[in-house]
Amino acid sequence: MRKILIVMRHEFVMLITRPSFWIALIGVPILMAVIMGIAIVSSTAATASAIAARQNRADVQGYVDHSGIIRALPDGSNLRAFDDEAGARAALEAGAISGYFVVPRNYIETGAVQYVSSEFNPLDSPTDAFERTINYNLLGGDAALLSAFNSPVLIRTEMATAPAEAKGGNGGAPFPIIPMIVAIMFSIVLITAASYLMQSVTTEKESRVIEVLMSSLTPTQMLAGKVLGLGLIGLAQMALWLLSGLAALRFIPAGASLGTVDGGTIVVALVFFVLGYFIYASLMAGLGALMPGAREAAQYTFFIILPLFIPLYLNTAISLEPDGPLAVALSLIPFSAPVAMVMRMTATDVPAWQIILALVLLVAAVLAVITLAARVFRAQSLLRGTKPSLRDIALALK
Amino acid sequence: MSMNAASSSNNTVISVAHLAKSFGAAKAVQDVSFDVHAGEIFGLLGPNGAGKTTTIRMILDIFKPDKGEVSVLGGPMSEQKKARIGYLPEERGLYKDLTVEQCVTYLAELKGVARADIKTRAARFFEQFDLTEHRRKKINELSKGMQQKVQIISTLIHRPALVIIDEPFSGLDPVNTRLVQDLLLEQRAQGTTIIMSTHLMYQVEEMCDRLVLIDHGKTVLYGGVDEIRRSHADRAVRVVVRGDLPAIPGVIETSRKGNERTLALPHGMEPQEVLAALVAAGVPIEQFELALPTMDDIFVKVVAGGK
Repeated sequence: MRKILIVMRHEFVMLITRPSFWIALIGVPILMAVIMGIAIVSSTAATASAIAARQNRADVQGYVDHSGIIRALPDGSNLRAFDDEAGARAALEAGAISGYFVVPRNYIETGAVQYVSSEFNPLDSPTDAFERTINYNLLGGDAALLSAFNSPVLIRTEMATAPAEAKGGNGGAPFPIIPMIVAIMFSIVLITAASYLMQSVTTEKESRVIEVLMSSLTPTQMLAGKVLGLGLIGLAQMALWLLSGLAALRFIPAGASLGTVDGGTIVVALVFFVLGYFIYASLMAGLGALMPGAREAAQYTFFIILPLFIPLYLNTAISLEPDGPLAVALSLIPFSAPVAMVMRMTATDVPAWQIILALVLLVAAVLAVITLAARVFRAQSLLRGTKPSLRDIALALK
Repeated sequence: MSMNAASSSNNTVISVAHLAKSFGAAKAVQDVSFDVHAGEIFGLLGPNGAGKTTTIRMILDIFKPDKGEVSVLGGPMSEQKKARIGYLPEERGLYKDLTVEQCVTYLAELKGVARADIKTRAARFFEQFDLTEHRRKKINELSKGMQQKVQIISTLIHRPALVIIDEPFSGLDPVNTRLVQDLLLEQRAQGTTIIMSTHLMYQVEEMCDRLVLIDHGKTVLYGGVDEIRRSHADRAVRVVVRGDLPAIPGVIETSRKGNERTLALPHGMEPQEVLAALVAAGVPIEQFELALPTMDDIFVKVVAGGK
């Protein structure tokens, strides 16, 4: 036990003396803050003050509605109706309007609207205001409902693919950004912590300090010290990030509901994190033990961390349909569960039985992977200076 | 040399009996046996790939033998015993990104030395090895010889009762070679048992009390260094005299190198008879010795003979 503690402290010192560790520790929350900031700005762009600012502007937009959707204009719209495009174009050329929208007859099917303007300014586009007008009419002229529509970007997407969604389910909620941020943070910490572990093994192999260590320690003591030492740092890092994220949420304006995170979620998330860490750390330690050096090991790292990326690739699907079969399956499979389950928990109320089942499966997988890693993490693998053959790997796993 | 004192002692520190170890189809060690006595420097010799490192690893319980018995410090290896052993493997290194102090401290802590003791002991070693001003440097800023010195400090800082050291002189200049040599002799004088593996046969002659020679995973030679040299001696004497060498009945002058002549003796003739004849002839004798083979000669002969 004493030796395990010494190894833990050693790993701790080795890690905190690395500049890359501090860059990640401080840099990632800053990066996340920037991403959240952008998300907040875009999701609150349609708040009252922003609308007012835009409406005070004198420029008038025209529109030609072939679909018959627009029956009324929301308060303060600077929109002028035209019967046909020729009239609108004439008004545009005369300078009476700065542009006009054409809503086609099949708008409901396509969701496409054409905008004709004499100038193009992506930073000051009038399309948001027109979208509001369409939404206002789609909502039956209900101004209160309209104000719930504070994420115009999503609405456009929803209508193009599944118009029915726009009126119910998640359609009206803003894109939940927290699940994605949590997933990214989880993946970053899991991958970096597991990679540090692998590097720590391959460094000792490459520098040939390993054989001296083996005369003082058993491989199991070495593995335990490394896994625990680097795991505690990872856990502290994760907790710090989650708490600072939670603190940052308090500064977010009320209208911008981006997802839900509470104390209970954080505790459960940290449990998933710890278990996920054990799986990936053990796999990486085993890989590090098998390969002669960091370069050889790095060739296989991708295959080990691939399952972590799957929930990230599918983050839209999980965030928008957190109770769908894909999200549920990913949150139960032990290799993707640490990320997928936490994404779901921040996006929806996950049934307790699913969380418990995921934990049971995860613990079983952790035990299996640690057993395998301990088998590989033995003197013969650690002292081998060459790339192992398949036969060597089979022998090591036996 | 303290060979007689060491070999007459019954205090066996290591006992290795009929060790065997294979890796897949490769038989690294087939049948190796030897004892190491307390307070001696024991040479573990053999050509590259003979099975020396595997034997050492089995002694240290890094590898489990397939067959045979190992007894270290009076029984099987244990956690406590690891703290009483210092090991410097042939394939060795240090943490390149740590300072000399950090590195020595970590390795000493793993051997159970208290932090306060590490500080005072390390300071003494740094002084002895001229490393005091380099102690805060990172390992990768040191020369190879300096790194080697740090490794030797790490091997000895926990005051082991048994030191196993593989090629202790590789990478050292003559000054540092002498330093390490003296250090090992000093350790022996303090009662430390040392197993030394080296290819430098003159070091074996100079330092080792007894040795084992392993070839193809088997013990091929085992015993006291002097004893082995004598048993491998050709029947010959080396003589340097002033003036001409008189004819000595029965002796054949087999070779001459400068002033030195090597005289081969026929069977039944003792070296004393040659000396008596020279004295009787009134020749001024400058040097007279048995033509003992060097360990180098014996090594080559035994290993080549085994092929």
